[in-house]
Amino acid sequence: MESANPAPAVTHDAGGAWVNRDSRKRALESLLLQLADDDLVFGHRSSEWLGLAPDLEEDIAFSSISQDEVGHATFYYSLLASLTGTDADMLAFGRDASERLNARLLEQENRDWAYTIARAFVYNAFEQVRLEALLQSSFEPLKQGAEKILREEHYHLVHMQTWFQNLGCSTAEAKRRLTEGLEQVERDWNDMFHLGPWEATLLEEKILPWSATELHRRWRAKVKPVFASVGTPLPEPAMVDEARSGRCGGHTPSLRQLLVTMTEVYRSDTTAQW
Amino acid sequence: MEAQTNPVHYDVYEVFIQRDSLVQHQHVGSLVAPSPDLALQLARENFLRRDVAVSIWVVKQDHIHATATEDADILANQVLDKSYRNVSGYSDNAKKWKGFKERAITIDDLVNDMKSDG
Repeated sequence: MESANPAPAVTHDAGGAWVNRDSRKRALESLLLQLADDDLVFGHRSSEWLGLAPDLEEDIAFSSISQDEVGHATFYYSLLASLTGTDADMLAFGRDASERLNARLLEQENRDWAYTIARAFVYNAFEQVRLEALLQSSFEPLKQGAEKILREEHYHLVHMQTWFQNLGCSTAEAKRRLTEGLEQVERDWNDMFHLGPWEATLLEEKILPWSATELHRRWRAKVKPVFASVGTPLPEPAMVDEARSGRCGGHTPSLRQLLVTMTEVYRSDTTAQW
Repeated sequence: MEAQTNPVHYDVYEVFIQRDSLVQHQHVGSLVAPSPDLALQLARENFLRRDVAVSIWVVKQDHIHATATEDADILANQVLDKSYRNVSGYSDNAKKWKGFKERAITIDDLVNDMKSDG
């Protein structure tokens, strides 16, 4: 992305001096893009339910949650933009699919409501664990952002868990759809726990103090009782194939389709002031 | 919703919001939800997306006992003069009390007081 830029102007930002070292900067950039791309893609897919959610009240609630997620993405993109002298809109809308670092699970089409809830619950639980790790980040602006974002994420997780358990304990059809949705989620979820090529630096520098293995372990402890409460097994994710990891820019055609829709207005005039 | 054939049905909940800890909960509207838990969660997003508050109540509409609007006489009031229930007379008390205390006291008054005490 901006690593080719010889003179990153970061004098105005408190984190500027901190990211002077090259490997530290590259690792931080990668993490911020993972965080931002995850929330933007998840927020965009969630927003596709507008007008279509099962009832009016849920339509409003789900749309509001998707706005929160896009707001969190805005925070991460803006932070990265201030460190690299780029522009948050360009980071969000101007990058090709192969430069995106979101997990592949989040870019998949919404399918039905049960699949959407299964994915949202699994991802929101992961997001919460990752934010808990960031509460001890050595990069102060990220640590402070995590404290605020975690407060909003609490409600998201409670809401998705309520739906997850309601579907799992409801009629045979709801249960069947949730089970099928989970099977589909589990086919795509392994790169969510991947941290990409900079994991060692992220850990060494304590930018993200927990490894991918540790994040997965804690995520598992969080979701296991909920899976058990609806009588559904919790399988182990398969090993990550780096060539097919979203954290390394490996994506499915669904991301391209999403980007075509999401960036349509931006691409119509990239110099416009909105 | 076919409530008779479908065991999963929605109830109407009335929503009350307490905006800070020094004021009472206020009715803000109603919503439909399949459970009290979801009603509380949906109330937050449907009525509090931008404002802050400290507490939400949801009450199933069925659980509210209401007076019948057609029974107008149950609330009949101010049909006869009820001015004796009003407290407006108290507003003159300070003035009267002040006038009483300012009244000059004569020697005869003091003598009469002492005589009656004795």
